[in-house]
Amino acid sequence: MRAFTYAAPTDLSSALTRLAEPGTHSVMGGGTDLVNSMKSYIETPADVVDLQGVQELQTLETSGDPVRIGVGLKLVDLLASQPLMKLFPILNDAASVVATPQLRNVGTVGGNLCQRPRCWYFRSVDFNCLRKGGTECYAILGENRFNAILGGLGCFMVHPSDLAPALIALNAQAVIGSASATRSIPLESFFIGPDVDVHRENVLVPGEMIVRVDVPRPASGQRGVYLKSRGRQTWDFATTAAAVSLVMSGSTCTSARVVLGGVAPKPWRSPDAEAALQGKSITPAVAAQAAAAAVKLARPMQYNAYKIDQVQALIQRAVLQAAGQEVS
Amino acid sequence: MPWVKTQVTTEGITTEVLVETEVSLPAWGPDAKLDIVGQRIPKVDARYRVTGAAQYMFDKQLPGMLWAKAVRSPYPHARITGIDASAALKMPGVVDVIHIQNTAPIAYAPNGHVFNQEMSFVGDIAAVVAAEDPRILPDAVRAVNVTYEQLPFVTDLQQAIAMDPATAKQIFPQGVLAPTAVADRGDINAGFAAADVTVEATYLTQVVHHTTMEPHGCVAHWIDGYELHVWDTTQSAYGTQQALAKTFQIPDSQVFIWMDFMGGGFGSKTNLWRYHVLASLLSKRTGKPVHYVNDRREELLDTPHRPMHQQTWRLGATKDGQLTAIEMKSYDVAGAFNGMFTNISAVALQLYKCPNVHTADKTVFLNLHQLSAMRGPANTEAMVGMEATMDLLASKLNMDPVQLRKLNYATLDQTTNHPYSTKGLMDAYNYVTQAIGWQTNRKTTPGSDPGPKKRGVGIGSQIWAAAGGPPSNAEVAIQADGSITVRSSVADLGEGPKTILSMVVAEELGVPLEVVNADFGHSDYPWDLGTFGSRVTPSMAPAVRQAAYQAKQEIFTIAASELGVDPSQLECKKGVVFVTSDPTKSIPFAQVAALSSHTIIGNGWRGPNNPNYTTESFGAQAAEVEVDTETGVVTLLNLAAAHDCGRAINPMLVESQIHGGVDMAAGYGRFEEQVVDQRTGIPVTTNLFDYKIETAVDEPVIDAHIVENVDTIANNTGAKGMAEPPTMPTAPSIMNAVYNATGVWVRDMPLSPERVLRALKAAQSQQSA
Ligand SMILES: Cc1cc2nc3c(=O)[nH]c(=O)nc-3n(C[C@H](O)[C@H](O)[C@H](O)COP(=O)(O)OP(=O)(O)OC[C@H]3O[C@@H](n4cnc5c(N)ncnc54)[C@H](O)[C@@H]3O)c2cc1C
Repeated sequence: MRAFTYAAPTDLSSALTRLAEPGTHSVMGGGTDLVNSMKSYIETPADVVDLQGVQELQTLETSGDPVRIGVGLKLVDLLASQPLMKLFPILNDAASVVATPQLRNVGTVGGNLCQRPRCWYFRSVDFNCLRKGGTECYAILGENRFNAILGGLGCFMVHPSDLAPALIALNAQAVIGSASATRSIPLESFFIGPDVDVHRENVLVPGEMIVRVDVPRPASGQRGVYLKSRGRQTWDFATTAAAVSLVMSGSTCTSARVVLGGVAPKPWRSPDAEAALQGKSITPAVAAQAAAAAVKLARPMQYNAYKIDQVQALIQRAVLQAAGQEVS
Repeated sequence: MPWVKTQVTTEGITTEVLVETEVSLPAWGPDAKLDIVGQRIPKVDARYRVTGAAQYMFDKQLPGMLWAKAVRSPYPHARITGIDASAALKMPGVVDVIHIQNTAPIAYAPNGHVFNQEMSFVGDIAAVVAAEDPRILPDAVRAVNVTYEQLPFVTDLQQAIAMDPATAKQIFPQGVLAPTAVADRGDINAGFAAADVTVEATYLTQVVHHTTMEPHGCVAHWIDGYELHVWDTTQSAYGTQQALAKTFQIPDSQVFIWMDFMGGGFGSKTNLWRYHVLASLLSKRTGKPVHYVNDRREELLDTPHRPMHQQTWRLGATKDGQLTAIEMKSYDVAGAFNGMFTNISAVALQLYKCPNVHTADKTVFLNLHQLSAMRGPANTEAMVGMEATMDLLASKLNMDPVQLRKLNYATLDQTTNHPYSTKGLMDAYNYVTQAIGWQTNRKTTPGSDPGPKKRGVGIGSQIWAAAGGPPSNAEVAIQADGSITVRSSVADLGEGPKTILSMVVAEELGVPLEVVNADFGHSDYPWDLGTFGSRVTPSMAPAVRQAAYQAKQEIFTIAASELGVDPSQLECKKGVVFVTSDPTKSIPFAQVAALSSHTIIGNGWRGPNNPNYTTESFGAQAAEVEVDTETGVVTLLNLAAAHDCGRAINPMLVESQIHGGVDMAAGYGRFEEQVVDQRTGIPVTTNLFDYKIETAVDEPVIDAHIVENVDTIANNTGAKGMAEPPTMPTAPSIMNAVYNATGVWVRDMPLSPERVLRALKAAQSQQSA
């Protein structure tokens, strides 16, 4: 681990001021990812800004519109908020399958959204892959069972966050702060693929951090489901995942958002799957059409074709469940 | 006592040992009235382990101690062209960097020397840095500049099989393929000719790691010209002492291996490793104690593992299910050195009754770290192919798989024609099939559940040498206050020898368990070969029993003079020595001990094995799974395990072994595997996230059942070995259950979602074609 300076500000403006100073900074939520990344020389900040003492980042406002979620909240805080879980059961689905109880007790919302990729080539100190500044993505001709089937370009990692697809399905906004300004953008466009920049996973530039996630209050008849498939039933990232949020009027779907996890370098929204659902009466056949539409452009590599079938099953199940239909 | 030669089978390898016959004691038969042996007693050291009071090797801190870490090869095969440690040595706190250029050659068995010019796998050791502060080590290691010339390598089994010999010789002097080791019984061709039905299938079983909770390493302190002390995590203090003494050419008596507590070994800590030599050498050079312990990445790169096999099995049977031929051909992957424990032929030759058997084992060398024994080596892997092919045969014969196994039950050891001393396999089959609901839960048409989530059950069996044998030695010392110390170099890895051997001593002496203290794991105590091969209970229990008996004779001599009787008239129970014919004539054990002018020491050892019998442990397991055929996830719902361990000295600990073995193998069957990037030869599963062991959430409900079958032929305590066997039937029972649930064979392990989905898809497209 490279030696670094450390600051533990207690208010947001001093945190942002520190980030504006010259040099490389990393902000730290719970550190469950950052510390590992530093130990394996993936992150080598000169300065670590620990956000754990910043109260402003730990507020949760569930009564207004939008619902405001501070990024310093721990995943366990989300799960413990009955109003939040009642408003958005999909967040319960997603937060409760992140990592392990120990990691959820420490890991924060901000850290979950901004965590670095889990691709073993990226994580291993033995490979200098494209994303780390090297010249190639080793997954392309290598051990790619966990890699992307969609949106890979140069780099084929899959975005690891469980919260991100669920929040994007809820049409959340990311509130980004810096010493000079605050801006709000759709969370969907917060994440970027390798087509935009192969070295980072989101739009943040030095001096910026995400401070809040705003989620519009649910419409009547809105119901969301997040399903995650993984090898082990705990302590495992998604091989594939599906976040589906539907607004139902009777058996008809009036609005749909479908976001996939584990399949692409960013949380993968599927307009084609959404179009297949909107205005339709939800049946198993319609759910299957939406699932097929979602993977229409999927391009498997040697060992990850199974993801195409697996994610379709999850989409179908999530759609039917969100539409209030029993799934076996 | 007379000395005789005896056969001892440990980890599947048989050797002849010269041994003194033990003192003949009456065997504890099935009806023996025992006070302590047979009770469910918590581990005597459990309290220290769970409160954190237990001191492990890693915890050892000595004044002035240095910390060491290896500089490791980033290439699977390379020649070192230069080592420049100057930058590292300039870092404040770095004390020494050792490597091939600044040390005299030290022989080290597996790869020639401790430091070699040629690196044979990623993680091979090029240099070692010693520093005053462990926190600077990672940066210091990176500061050592080693330059390499890359050489041709092979890490892929298929590539090795296809490789031309000339290229192979550039990689390993002996080539990548060893000569085939063949074993035959009867006439395999005649066997297949007599068969009405023949089946054949190939299985790939993967590399898995021991993943001990406590990493490998040691703390060495060489007080030059005087003594070498090593605080270790080892399965054999005695073996490590001998090997270290030999390495440095000093007497055994100047080497002290110390170990009080250990956090798991599973076969990976049975002998001398490079870190023992390197830490000792650094200590010798610096005059300071040296703490050298792997981090987890190093554990997953450079500690041994269970080897990979590509096994092809062919079975022939008559139409009523009688086996006529068993053929097993396997590529056994050894890593860069050491072909020991690769041969997996034993199961084919032993488990089922069959007159014609042919096995062919071919060891393959790859540029990967070396293998070692791992909990039930060879049989755990071979049982996958044997048992899955039995189920394939059963399906061809339209027969219940358990029925097929019972039909081919072996009552003799077919390799020697000796009877088994005891064999409880039939009881095990009966128990597990009952417990798993075989009759109702087995799909007579595999895959017949409607819907995407399908359930099924599967069976697996197990055979494993369980006699133990010499050398095992212990002494029982009675202190002046009547408390008792049992001393032996035997290692308690966490599985419970301190507990059960204390129980045996307390039983034989007739004292309460609380007064017995087991002091194990020190090399200057009486020898024990080591804690592996499921040998400790059947080897050490008779040894400590004899030691206790010998000490008791002295107690009786003293008590007899006090009570005015002959020693032969005395007995001891619950800490009181009394006259058998008149129990009112008595004296407390502690009082007798206080009368002694010297420490009473009883010596006990393990005598020869019975030459007329074969002693094996047997068991069976039945698994119930649910397969989500759309996601590929296999949920292991229930697992019933019944194992024959002879006498259960402490049933609670036997059940613990069953739980531990099943969990380890349930991970083997479903999650764990070393993955290697074949283009670079670099393993990518070098942390405990990417290398997936089973978690508690993934555990099945385990019904652990002991088939108690007191075996007084095996030894006078009636106990057989039991530590490794429960890992053996688990993976095949899962594989068979997945077939029963889905109607599709998944023969590449582990049965992870992508493999299950791939197999289901292949079966589907085959059907539609
Ligand atoms: C073994 C293991 C298993 C895991 N399994 C899962 C899983 O199944 N699903 C899943 O979703 N995640 C998983 N995680 C990932 C992750 O650690 C947790 O999800 C957690 O929420 C991260 O939060 P943190 O506060 O600890 O992040 P930190 O480690 O503090 O930060 C992670 C990264 O985000 C940056 N960061 C933190 N806060 C901000 C901010 N406000 N603005 C900008 N950047 C920020 C940091 O600089 C760092 O680069 C796992 C992690 C581990 C170690």
